[in-house]
Amino acid sequence: MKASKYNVIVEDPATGGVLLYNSLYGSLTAWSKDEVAIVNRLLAFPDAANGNGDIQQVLREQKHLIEDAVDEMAIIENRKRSGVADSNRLDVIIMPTLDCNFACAYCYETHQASSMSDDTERAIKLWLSHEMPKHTVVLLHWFGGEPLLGFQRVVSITEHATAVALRSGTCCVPHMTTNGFLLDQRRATALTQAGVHNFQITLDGPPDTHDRLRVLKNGRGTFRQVFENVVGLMHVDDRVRVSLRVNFNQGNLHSIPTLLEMFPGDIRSRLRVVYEPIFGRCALSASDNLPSEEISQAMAQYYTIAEQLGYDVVLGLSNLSAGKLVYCYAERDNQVIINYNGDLHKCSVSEFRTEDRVGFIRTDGSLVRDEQKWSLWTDGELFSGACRSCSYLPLCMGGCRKTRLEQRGPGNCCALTPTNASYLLKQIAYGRFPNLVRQCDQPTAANHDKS
Amino acid sequence: MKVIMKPEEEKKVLEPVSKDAKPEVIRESVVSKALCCVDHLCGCNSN
Repeated sequence: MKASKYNVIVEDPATGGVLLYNSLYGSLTAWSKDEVAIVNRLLAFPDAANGNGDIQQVLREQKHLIEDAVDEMAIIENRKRSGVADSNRLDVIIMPTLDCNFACAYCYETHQASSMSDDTERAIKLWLSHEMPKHTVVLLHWFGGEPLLGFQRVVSITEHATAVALRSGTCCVPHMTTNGFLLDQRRATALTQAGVHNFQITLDGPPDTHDRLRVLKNGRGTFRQVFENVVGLMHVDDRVRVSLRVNFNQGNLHSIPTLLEMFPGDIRSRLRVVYEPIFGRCALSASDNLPSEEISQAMAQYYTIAEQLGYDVVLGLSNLSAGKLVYCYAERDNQVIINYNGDLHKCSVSEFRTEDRVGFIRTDGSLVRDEQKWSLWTDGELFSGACRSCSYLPLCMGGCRKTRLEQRGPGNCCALTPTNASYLLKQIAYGRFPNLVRQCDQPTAANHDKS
Repeated sequence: MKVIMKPEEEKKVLEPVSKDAKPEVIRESVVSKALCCVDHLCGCNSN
């Protein structure tokens, strides 16, 4: 018997006990202060039960202790290969334009006047017609730039995709990330009728904070119109679900509760709130300008407030489940970003330069992949050297491929709180893991009973 | 001692990518991954 390499011990200062989480198997066990020394001894000397057989038994059942023959790295590598090669699901991200009507202070994109041609729209439809039936589920994401600047293309292609799905029996799930400014009743109605029921829209706090960060190109604030559009959208169709994202830093973190109070109560259950730190090394960066403890406390408090106000809140032990297969969709072979000009890309955090494309779509609807560039995202070394000895690896699955490609340095690309890191990893990084488990104490019993 | 979460079976972990996975299993996987991994298109400055 041996200890799993993926045991993560988190001390709970409130009780003196420890939480023992296994990032590979997803098991979580709380140990009291009196048991900590025995647990630590058994993890160090797994066969030396010395009268503590009950504790040893639980450690085995929870896979904190495993058989010597178990090759845990092989399990992780198999997960990654399975996720990369997975053909059950097709992720298509279409960018009808790289242009945007906003000039957000923290945006990473370089906006340019651009629009999709009729030829490209036709090519995408042809490709969807023969590609979609090969997959069980197709996720059709609209992104940009601001996708609503190409509104007619969005509606036309979405209608085509949903028709193909209906004919072929494929499950198509359209989704749009939009700033919401142009999402008036007419457009909202057309989009929902075409099948787009899932949206991500950002409001960076109430008017006084949002209007400092998310402005039109002419500098004018956008809060009022986006807010009214979100409320209107929710009333257009009961199937609409919106991820209400708040990008925060030191300037707007504590304005979140004010924003939450503003939405009418009848739509809150279909609004899922997501708070994300503004990243980067700049004056606007949350991590550079806010102590992690302050972020941690604010997150705990503001998610709780959201839950109390009736919003859809992602909290609970379901968020701690194991089983991440790839770091992000860009590593999946059956994922592609189609730019307005027909260029293919893998990562959505990009400047989308033609010289960086990994292929293009022909007018006949076939994808021409630059296999050398494409394979940089899907093949090669599964994990860099340092990742192989990291006990958080199953939660992260190797980190950002783009960063690895750019830095070309094994093991030095790690940041515990990138956007695509697991929720759990963020909680650990923010030091609020014990809080999370304490919050989940009641749901815990139900969760345990079900399993 | 308190068992809060039991270990997941590897078969369950790989179910969404298995040959005969049902659409609802795949969708559920997408949703849960999106919830726990924030696996969405990002709007932040990661540079």
